[in-house]
Amino acid sequence: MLTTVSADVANNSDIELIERCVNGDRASFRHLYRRYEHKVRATLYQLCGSSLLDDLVQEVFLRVWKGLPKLKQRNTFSTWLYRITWNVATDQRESFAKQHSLEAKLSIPDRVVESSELMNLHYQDLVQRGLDHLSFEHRAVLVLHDLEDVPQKEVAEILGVPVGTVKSRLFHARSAIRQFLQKQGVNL
Amino acid sequence: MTEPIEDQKLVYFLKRNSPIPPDSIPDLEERIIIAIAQEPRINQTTVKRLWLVPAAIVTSVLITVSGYFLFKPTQIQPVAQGQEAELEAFLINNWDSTLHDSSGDKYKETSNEEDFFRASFQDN
Repeated sequence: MLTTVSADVANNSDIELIERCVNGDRASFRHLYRRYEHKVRATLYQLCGSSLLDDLVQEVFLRVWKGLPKLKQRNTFSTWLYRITWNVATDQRESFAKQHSLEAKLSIPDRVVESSELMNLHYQDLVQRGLDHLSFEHRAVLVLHDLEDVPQKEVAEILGVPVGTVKSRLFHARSAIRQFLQKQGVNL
Repeated sequence: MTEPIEDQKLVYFLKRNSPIPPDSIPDLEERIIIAIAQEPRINQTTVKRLWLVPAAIVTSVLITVSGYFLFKPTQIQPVAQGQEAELEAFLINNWDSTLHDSSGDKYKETSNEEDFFRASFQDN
């Protein structure tokens, strides 16, 4: 019975879940968390790296819980959520970047990997380094638009810049990361 | 609008090899649920009621200010030195003309009484 109710709640739309959350239903917030945790986590990781990632995810969802009653246009929840994610990433950027570079220097591979997996890891590392190579603003546009499939108009709303600026940043970000990858021997 | 083929290739490569975030700690979900339970909840009613606070303050200020001007006692302006004499002369003239006015019948009796009193004073 409880499982059925839980499944029903999980199938609810964002707007219905938000409505329940606003009325203090923490179970609905749990579903909202499960629905968006991966996107938030991936975005934060691509923007800030792995250090303090769990704390940042928690911070995002705490801000969401506190801010939900003030969210007027509930159909724009995902844009609003990305906006909070962006704000948290921005707030933590400097201290985070220092920790990340230190961690990268100290990181030691903890297992032996197969050659194909090694190649994948190599490419992942290249993409990570390529993203790190970009300015924070360019990285944000590339992550949101190209990796998270957020439309340009929404990216503009999330970052609080005109659509033209998003287009321009996207153009420069792609050029820079393409150049970086080609220098590393990737044939695109 | 279709993206140029070079951009499509790049985006495909980035997506395919985008860094995978490490797994979260096992109890992160519980940690977040516990954390939000400890947060003081601002529900919609509270948010709506918050607007009443500045409105109430403005209303109180308006009532106080308008009440002050409405119920403020009017101050009597002191009479200037020259005006005082002028006012005195006016009062005397006005009084005299009232006493000696013979045109109105209702004042006739008063006037006669005045004459009677004057005459009795002179006699004494």
